[in-house]
Parts: sequence; C-alpha cells; structure tokens
Amino acid sequence: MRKLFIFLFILTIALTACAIRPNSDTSQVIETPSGTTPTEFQPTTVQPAEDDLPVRGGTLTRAITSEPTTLDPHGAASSGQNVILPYLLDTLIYRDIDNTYKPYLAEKWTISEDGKTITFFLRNGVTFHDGTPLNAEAVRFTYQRIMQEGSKSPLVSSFSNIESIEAVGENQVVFHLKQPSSTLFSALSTAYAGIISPAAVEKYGDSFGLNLVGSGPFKLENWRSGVSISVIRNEDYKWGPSILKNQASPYLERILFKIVLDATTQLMAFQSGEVDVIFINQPSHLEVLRNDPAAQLIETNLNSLVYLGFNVQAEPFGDVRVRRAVAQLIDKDEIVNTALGGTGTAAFSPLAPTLPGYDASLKDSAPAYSPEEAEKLLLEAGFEKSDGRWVNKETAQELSLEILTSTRAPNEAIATVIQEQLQRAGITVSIKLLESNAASELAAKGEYQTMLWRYDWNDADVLNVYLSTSRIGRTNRSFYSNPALDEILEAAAMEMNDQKRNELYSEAQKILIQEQPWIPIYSPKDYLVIRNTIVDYIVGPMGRLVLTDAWLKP
Amino acid sequence: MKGKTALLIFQSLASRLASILMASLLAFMILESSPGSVIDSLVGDEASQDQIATLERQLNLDKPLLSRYAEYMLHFIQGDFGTSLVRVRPVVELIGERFFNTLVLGFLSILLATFTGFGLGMLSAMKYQSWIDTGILVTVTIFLAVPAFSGAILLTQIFSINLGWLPVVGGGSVKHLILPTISLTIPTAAVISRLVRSRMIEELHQFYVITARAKGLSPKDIWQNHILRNALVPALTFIGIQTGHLLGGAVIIETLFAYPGIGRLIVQAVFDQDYPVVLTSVILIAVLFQILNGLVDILHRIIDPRVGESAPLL
Repeated sequence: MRKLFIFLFILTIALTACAIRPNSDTSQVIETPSGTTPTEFQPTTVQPAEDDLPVRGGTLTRAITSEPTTLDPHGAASSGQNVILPYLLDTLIYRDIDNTYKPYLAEKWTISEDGKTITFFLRNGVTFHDGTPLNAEAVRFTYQRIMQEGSKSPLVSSFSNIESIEAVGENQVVFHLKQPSSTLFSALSTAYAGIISPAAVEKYGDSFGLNLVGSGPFKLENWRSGVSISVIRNEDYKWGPSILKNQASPYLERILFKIVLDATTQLMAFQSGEVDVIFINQPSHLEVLRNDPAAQLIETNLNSLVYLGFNVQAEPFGDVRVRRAVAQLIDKDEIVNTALGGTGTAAFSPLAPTLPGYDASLKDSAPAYSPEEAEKLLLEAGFEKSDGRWVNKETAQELSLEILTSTRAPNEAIATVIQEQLQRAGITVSIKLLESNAASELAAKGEYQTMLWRYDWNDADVLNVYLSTSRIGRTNRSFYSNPALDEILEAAAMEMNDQKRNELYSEAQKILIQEQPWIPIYSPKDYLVIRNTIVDYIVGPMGRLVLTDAWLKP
Repeated sequence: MKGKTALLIFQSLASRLASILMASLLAFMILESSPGSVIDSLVGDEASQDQIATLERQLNLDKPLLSRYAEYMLHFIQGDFGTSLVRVRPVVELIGERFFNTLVLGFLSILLATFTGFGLGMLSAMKYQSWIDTGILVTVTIFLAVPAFSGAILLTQIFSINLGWLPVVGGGSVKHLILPTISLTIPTAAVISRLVRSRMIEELHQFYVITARAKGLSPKDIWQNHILRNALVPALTFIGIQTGHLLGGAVIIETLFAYPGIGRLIVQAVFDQDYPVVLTSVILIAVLFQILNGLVDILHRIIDPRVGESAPLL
C-alpha cells in the first residue's frame, strides 16, 4: 500500500509537470529561416483537395479574444467587433489581397479631374436584413453619422477631409472632398465603413449596437453577454463582391463567435474540437499546432510593425547620433530568434513590409548592428566611457534609458532582450511594464524616453498618423517634427497615382531611416488556425477571413 | 437586556453599512485616480481633441470626482444602477446573469470543499501518524502547492482534450460547471483539511479530552461532541472568508474556462474604467460579504457559547 502512494505521488508530480509545460515553454526555437528578406505576400486561397461540390449547412465556431462593447460600427472599436462586422455589413468597395479595390455595393465609381469629387454608382436590389432598401440615401445617412459630433468611429479623422456627401437619385452617392485623397478608399473598404439601415437606427436608438442591422451575408442572431455572439445566414443575399465564387447566400448556416479571453484556453478549445478557428501569436502555441493534423496554419497579413520609438523631447534622444547609436546596439535578429522563436522578420523600415509603398531596396542604407560604429557615434555626441558606462562629458550624467511598454505578450520578452543588449554595451536600461490603457496615457503625455509599441495599419499613411508635425499632441507620441517629411507625407496622402505615391513614401522612409525617431524592430507573423474540415475560405488583407465561399466538409 | 441587544444589533448593522459605503468610495477613488480613462476604451489613438471633449461632456466626466460619486450613489439608493459607460447595456442586465453564474460556481465549490476538506482532515486526525495520515498530508500539500491555473490546465488536458468528456469553454450547462468547480474546490479543500487536522490533533491532547475519556465516554462521543466542535470554529471562519472571495469572482478560473462569471466582468470594467459597473459590483459583493460574516458570527455563537460574551452581535 505504501508503494501505491509513492507511485501516486510520482504520477501527480509528473502530470503537473506536463500540465505546466505548454505554458512556460517559450525557449524553444522554431526552425524557420530568419533574417531573410521578406517575400512578397501571396494571396491565400485554399482549394479543396478533390473537385467536390460545396455542402450547405453547418456551424463554424471561432474564438474571439474580447467581447465587443457594441456592434455599432460607429461605437467603440474593439478586436472582437472588427472580426464580426464584415459578416454583418457590406461596404461600397472590396479590398483585394493585392490592395486593389473591387466593386462591391458600388458597381463602379468615377473620380473627377481634380480628384476632389468621387461618384459611386450603387447596384440595384440590395436590401437590409430588415427588408428596407439599401439606396443612396442610406449610404449618405451612414457616413453622415460617422461625421457627426460625438461619434466614436475610428474613421472620424479619415473622414475629416470630406466636405459633404450627397445622394443623387436612388443609386448615386457623391463625395465632395476638401483635398484629393489617396487614403479614402482604404477607409471605405473597412468594416467600420459598412452601410447600416437608417430605419433600424431610428427604431433601436441607443440599443442599435445590440441589434445591428446591415445588409451582409449573415444576420445577427443572438448575443449572450459574456459567452458568445452568433450570426445566421442571410437567405436573401445575392450581392457578394464579384471576385468571390459565390455571390449568393453563404453555404455555412451559422457562425458562432465564442468569447475566450485566454490564449492558452483558446488553444485547448481548438484541440478539444469546441472551436474551429483561432488566432495565435505565441511561438509555443504555434509549435503545438504544427504537429496537429487537424490544423491549417495560415499566416495573416496584419501590416504590423513592432518598433522602439523615441520621445525626441527627452534628452539626449533629440540627438540623431544617440538614436542611431542605440539602433546600432540592438541586434534585431537575436530578438527574433530568442524572444520570438523565429516568428517574425527583423525590420529596418518604419513601414510594414506588406504595405504598398514599402521600399525593400533601402535595407543597405539602414543602420546595421555594429557596436563599433555605435561607439564612434556616442563619442561624437559628447559621451565617454568610464567604468564601462557611457557618461556625458559635460553634465557627467550617465546614459540610461527607460523602455515603456504594455503587458501584452510578447512585449516583455522583447524589452528584456533589448535591455540585455544595451547593458552589454554600457547603457543602463529599465523597463516600465504597464496595462495598455495606462501605458498609452503616459505615452500620449510624453512622459517616457522610449516606448516599445506595435501598430497594425492598412495604409502607408500610418507614417503621417504617427510621425507628422500636425499630429503632435495626438497620435505623434514621438514629438518628432520634420517639415521636409511633413511635406512629403502630405503630398503622398493626396497623390492618386500609385507609382508616384510609392516614390514619395520611399523618400519618407529614407528620411526616417536616416533620422531613426523609431527603431523598427521586427514585423510580426501571426497565424489564423483553421480546422481542416473547412474549405474554400479566403484570408484577405488585415487577416480578414472571408467565409461566403466557405463550407464544411462532412 | 432586550434593549441592550437591540442596541447591539443596531450598532453592528450601522458599522456593516459604513464598511460597505467605505468600500464603494475607496473603489471609486482608486479607479478614478489610476492612469488611463474610460475615453481610451471608447475611442482609439486617432481621436481628435474635439471628439474627446464632446465625449467627456456626454459622460459627465468633466464634473468633479466627489459630485459624480454622490450623484451615482443617490441614484443607486433609489434602485437606479445606471448604464455601463462602455457597454451599451444597463448595469443590472450586465451583472444579473453573471452574478448568478458566479453564485452557483462559488457555492457548489465551497460545499464540495467543505465536505471533502472536513472528511480528509478528520480521517487524517483520527488516523494520526498512520500511513493514511501521511498519504493525505502529502496529497494535500501537493494540491496546495499547485497553482489553481495549472491544476485547471491539467484537468482540461485529461478530461477535455484526451478523453473528450467535458467542454473547455463556456457556461450554461451542468457539463460546463464540472471542471471549474473542481479546479476551485481542490485548493480550498486542501486548506480546510489541514486546518481541521491540526486543530483536532491539538484538541486531542487537551485535559478535557483526557477527563472525558476518564469519565468513560465512548470515542465516538468524544470525537463528535468535543473535538470536532472545537475544531469547527477556525475552519468556519476560513470558509466564511473563502466564500466571500469566491463570490467576488474566481477571476483566473473564470478566464481559463471562459466561464461567464462576475469576476471577469469586474476586471474588464476596471481596465475600461467603467465606474457604474465597478461600483455596483463592489457594493453587491460587499453586502454579500457582510451577510456571510454575520452568518459566520451567529454560527460561532451556536457552536461555542463563550463567543457571545465578548463579541458584538451579528
């Protein structure tokens, strides 16, 4: 009997050890080539193995990390809302994986000679889920609602360039712009610009966000607070974007979005078969799923970049030599390989490699990892080394910096590797890890020296948003101001010719690589995990999972 | 004597009410003085100053702190718990079902923990220094050392992924309750069993036990009426406090099993700085805590009449 207890004791310990493993196992290195130049993004369309016919029916379950506060596209935005909205709403135009725009609710559009008037021609016969017609007036109503006072829409600032919107007849919508705009189309293709039913807005008032009525391929079915949101097939649907195989009602009967906050729980729910689609960004989870025959791993294209941004008002980081020295002391490949297990690509440009306008040819001009050159720069900038630490010769102040970042994984791991690298070179580094709202507030006030941050953006205009003079005090947390850059970015935002626009962004990248207000660290790789019974789905830009063509293999 | 009792009850009620008020005020002050603002949860980085100012006006955030608190409490007393600043729903609707879910989970696991804890603890004490005692002690120590979340992950691995018997996520059915309940029960049962065991062993060597034995009482009588009764008091105090904690939401377990309880809601509301939700939940939990405390006090008196002479009533 005593032996039995010893056996049980050992068993318990062993099981406990097994249980902890998947969680703490972040040291493993995944064998993917790193440090290679990013390849061009390939559209991901999965074809069924045989030529079988789609089957109608079935429920697809997807885990979402946060419960939307509202489904009103003009209410507070959240990641959960962003996932669900594209199924409920249609937009005027459809953004293809190659970042070109295709007809959707608008059959065609014309742009005036001066670029300031854009006319959209709507298709006929589109109705909202409540049966009311989707016409020019409904489009005008939707966009007017974004522009009205107190709107919480993320599109408010993109729309500030609109002078007025006019509905002409049943199916013409005319945009009058203050300036020509090359960013308007990308704004109009996001789900936040989806068209909503004016009748439903009036009917539901404040609770419209719980009873969203659009014209999309699915209708809102049920919202169980804290548990799930389900959407059901719109049987009347026949106006899907023409580039899809199926423009009519989807094959899937229902999509169920389960609210699961914890990433490990999402992984387990996938393994147990309760959830069919999850989004992952943790190397250890990726490793577990690589060996799972039921999982299709699809790399998503969120156009994201992780960077170390300077507050250029915090001395001595106003000095470009100091910023470049810090950049040359950071070994980005080491960060990708150790902190991320290879799931990312070292970056040199402030633009994500998947954004139009990204210039791969600038790589050689970017400051590379080189402690020797960094040393020279620091000596030039008036620092000297004493006792292995860098000290300002005049003020006798030690060179040290603080990294502000949020608790979101894997920020801490990255900050720790940077800390280690800089301390090796004689710069003392402290890390300030805060919950994300608190970190944002400090960053907005400029109460920091450097911040480790991530952006996901759908347009190269992101540089304008975060680094132009006009955004200081709002989104430009670096307080970086460069009139030459402002001019280029402003011109790019108005340039309608793609080639000219890319040339302008190339110029902007040159300046920013030279000046290093941000040290680009890496572009992350995130994955959608999709059960292998699901076929014919499309993964579009910004990780959007299009399911109108998709069906479940019986 | 009657008048004195009434006064005591009144005093006790007043002090309990005061602590509930203090709890709500503290929660509000800490929430409002912590960095970030509810505005951050409502609009993104791109918000303009105009947009922010308009929202602040709409949400009354431009008014002074204390006047906002007072206004909220005035409405609260009249039964109007307000609307969430972030989520479009009324607070009652948000909290209602979640709170019920947490109550079910909390009470089930405390019940289960009490029974297994007492059972194991008594068995251990009665078989003091035998292999049964050692076995229980070792097992309990292991369960105490394993954090609740890794225990939960282990259970999920076995029962959901390998065996496929129980769901990992969600709520609303008995099946959904099993794993979270067990995960919460294990550490609580472990503490109770250790408390009960050590108290009973302590009592075992008291003079009154020797006297009772000398009087010729049966071992069953001695264990039931003397030793167990005395060992009950500290265990009861622990159970009272622990129940309070569980009702406040077992946040980690709720998050791991995606269980729709109140703990998760409160944490989210704190991150969002959504004060109507936080305040209502804090007051609700404080009231329950006080009721539980009162119940434990009364039970103490019943079990151990000596308590009544020194402690205040209720």
